[in-house]
Amino acid sequence: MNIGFDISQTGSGKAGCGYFAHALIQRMLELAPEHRYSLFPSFGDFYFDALMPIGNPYPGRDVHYGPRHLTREAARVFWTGNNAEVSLGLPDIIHANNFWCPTQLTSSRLIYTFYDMGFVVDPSWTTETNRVGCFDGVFRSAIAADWVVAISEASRTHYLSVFPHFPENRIRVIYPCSRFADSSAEGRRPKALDAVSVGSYWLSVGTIEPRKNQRRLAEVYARYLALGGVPMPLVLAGGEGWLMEDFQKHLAELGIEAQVVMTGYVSDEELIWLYRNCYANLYPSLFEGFGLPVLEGMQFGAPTLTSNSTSIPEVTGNAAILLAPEDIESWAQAMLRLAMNRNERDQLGMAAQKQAALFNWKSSAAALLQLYDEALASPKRRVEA
Amino acid sequence: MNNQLRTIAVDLTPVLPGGENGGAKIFVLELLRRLAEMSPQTQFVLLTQVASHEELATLDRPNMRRQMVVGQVLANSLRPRLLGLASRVLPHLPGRLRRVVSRLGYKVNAMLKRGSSSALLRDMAADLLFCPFTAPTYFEPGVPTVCTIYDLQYNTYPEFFAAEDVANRERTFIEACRRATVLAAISDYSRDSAIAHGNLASSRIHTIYLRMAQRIAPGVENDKAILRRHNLTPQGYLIYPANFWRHKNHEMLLTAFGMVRHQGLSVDIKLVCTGAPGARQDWLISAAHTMNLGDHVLFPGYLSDADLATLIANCKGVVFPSLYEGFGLPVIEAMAAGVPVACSNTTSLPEVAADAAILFDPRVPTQVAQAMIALVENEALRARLIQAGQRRAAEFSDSECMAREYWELFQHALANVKHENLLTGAYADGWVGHCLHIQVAPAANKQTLAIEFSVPEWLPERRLTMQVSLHGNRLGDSFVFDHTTNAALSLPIEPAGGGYEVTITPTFVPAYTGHGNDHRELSAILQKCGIVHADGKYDALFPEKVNA
Repeated sequence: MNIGFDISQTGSGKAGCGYFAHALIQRMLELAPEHRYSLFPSFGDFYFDALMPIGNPYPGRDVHYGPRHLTREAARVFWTGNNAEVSLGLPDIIHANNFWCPTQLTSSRLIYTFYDMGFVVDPSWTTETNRVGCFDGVFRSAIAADWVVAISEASRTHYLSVFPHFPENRIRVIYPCSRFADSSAEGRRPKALDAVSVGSYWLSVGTIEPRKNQRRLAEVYARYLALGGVPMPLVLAGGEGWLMEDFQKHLAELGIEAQVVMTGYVSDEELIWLYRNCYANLYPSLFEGFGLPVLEGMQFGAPTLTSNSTSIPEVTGNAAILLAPEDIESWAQAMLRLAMNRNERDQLGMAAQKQAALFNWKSSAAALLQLYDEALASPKRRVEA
Repeated sequence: MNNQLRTIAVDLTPVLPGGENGGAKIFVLELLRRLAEMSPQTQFVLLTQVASHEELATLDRPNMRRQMVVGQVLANSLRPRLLGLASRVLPHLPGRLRRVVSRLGYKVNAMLKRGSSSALLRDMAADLLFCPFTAPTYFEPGVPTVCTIYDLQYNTYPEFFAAEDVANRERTFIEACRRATVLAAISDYSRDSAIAHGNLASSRIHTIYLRMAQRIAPGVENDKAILRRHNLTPQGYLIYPANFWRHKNHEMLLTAFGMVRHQGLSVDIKLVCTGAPGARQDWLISAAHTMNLGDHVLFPGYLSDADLATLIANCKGVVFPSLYEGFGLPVIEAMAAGVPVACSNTTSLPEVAADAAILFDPRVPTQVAQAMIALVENEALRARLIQAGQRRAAEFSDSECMAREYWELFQHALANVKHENLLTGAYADGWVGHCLHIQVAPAANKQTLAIEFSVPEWLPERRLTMQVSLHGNRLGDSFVFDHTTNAALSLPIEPAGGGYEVTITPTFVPAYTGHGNDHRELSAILQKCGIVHADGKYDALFPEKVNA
């Protein structure tokens, strides 16, 4: 099989989408080195990384890298042109991983990774430029993709509710997994935590932005303290996102600024330490396509309180306390109870580790290779007039 | 009325034949007809280009004449060739470089359009220059200038434009802000955007709404041939009257319509998307087909005003999910036709539609879908919207009122013409035609005008003669120079300032003397020009301070 695979977002500084492609291509090369792989350092003109490596970052027996475009415009000309498929040697599979979607392929089976459409639920969760590019890509996938890979059942259901015409049997769930291979890693204590005792802080990981719901979490925490909760600090680990300039002011108004530790951006090593040593991980996100910080926290045994909505219950199974992300009182009560009940907290931590082990990249890569086989065995979905 | 406005020059060179200018052209033609009716004592001189000169003959009347200022020669020579070259080269340059190249291109383009006619307005004794398509291309120092601003979409949604297009639009906007005595904006939204982006004093820009709700009237009431041709029944369809531009958001509309049809409606309803055929329409047709909407979404293509009016008058409702509008005329036109409207809650649309439409977030497909369902099924709401819509449309129907507001703005410009140091007649690369105009603003003390020219050795005529005059009167003797002489001039100026003119003879056209393809009429190269104030302060007119 000749597999064309978009790795445009796997350059340095990769986020969730980039990591998905990065982990899958690594495992596929291990599982099925017999295939021919064409790795695309640029894919369309929506996401473009001029600093992609010059040489192939994923070596293998029959792995090819290119075409590497110097400018976004050059990438656009290539990927929107009618010759793209032929110049690439008519791959059996072309797998899109960066939201952009070609519409002109007549022979290759087009597989499209669908992460999520939070931007049609609340457009203010992202920038308008990003929203336009993402919606455009997803819409095009609903027209032109032969198969869609959804990263959760919730994402799959959402996709089909927005695009009810899309054949249900051509959209399949393949879960992402943790970015951390070694579940026994100890990590490194962040400087900002010097004054905090191990095992006695509430943790919440994620960029400070409206979708992650940290404003409400701050209100939950203030309520928890007001109800006489054990005065453990709240550690917010993540950089500042958008529309949250007044977050500090919000903390001050709640009178909790002294009890809240904001670490700013943390390294992976520090993140592991934070997960491993927190009293519990609080993740009240309003919308997720999957919920990687939940899975990664559970991997390191973090007892988890998180949202009962969108994809998150699929990640946690029964191994976390699930709450409505808008319900401040429930959250405060659950924290009070857990703070008083060390035993329940420890049980949760162990259950979390067991649940997290269910997700592994090898199974996901195997499922993807299986999907490629099926895609190749079935006709293209749509024949251009 | 004020008799100081004897002659008004109107720049119609941006007018393209047919429908390519979209709504702006329709508005401008209507406004000019009204202005001409209203002010019979004023002569309107319409500056035109060869492509649309004949088409604009419909505007000819005793006090309105056309003058072609961009002719065949230019149209066939340098400008299209430059543009052709640019379009071939530009896509291969990185975005930032493209913007720089395009900014230069804009200046060359504007100068080429002006040609050597640097005293066009003065020659026709124009009291005012009106630029209804924004760009103040024919601006001359001392002539009050009014520019109309439509929108700043290129600034909000640069991704919907080519990089060079963004640069051109930005340049046009900046030039308009700089040159215009006063500006008109077609909505408060556009006005606020211009004030914010152009850092304009709010007193320099006035909102004048488009008032022309009755532009399109249905043809003969019984002529429903257009419905029959497309197998439509009255009240059996929703319609989106919009070209297939990216910001019109057709993909979202199709998505929402797919959701609506999946949920099931009490009646079988179709969706009509009007707009000129092209690649975008082909894509949307193919998308609708794949979405199993092929039988329910119609693309009738380009329509005459009468056919469009008939389609609108007979529809169940107008749905308008545009992401960006400077005004949103189709919303008002639908209201005038007694049709209920659902439209976006962004940019100018809430201001124009007010409470007479269902407002939705055009980025949220469930909201668009709900609005469409309400438009079809909620009878009480439909009745209220129709009534409120007709009242709303009445407020936007008086094009005489719109013309009056423009006339008042012209008077205002006349009273507020800026006095500042300005230079025209030099190309961006420094070459000067036969004449350089310098307007010097009044100053408290004496000032000095400093000019420096250079002359290449290869000029066909080695010796050039320069003569300075003030308001048409020669100042001193002429001055002869060549490539060996330093052609620097230092001229004392009275505190009152004034309009200085530097003529240089002879001129030549490089293309005719074996120097490439350059068809400009040229004399010498301006190295530097500025005003030196009594306190030593130097106000540079050339090279210009570059706006970032």
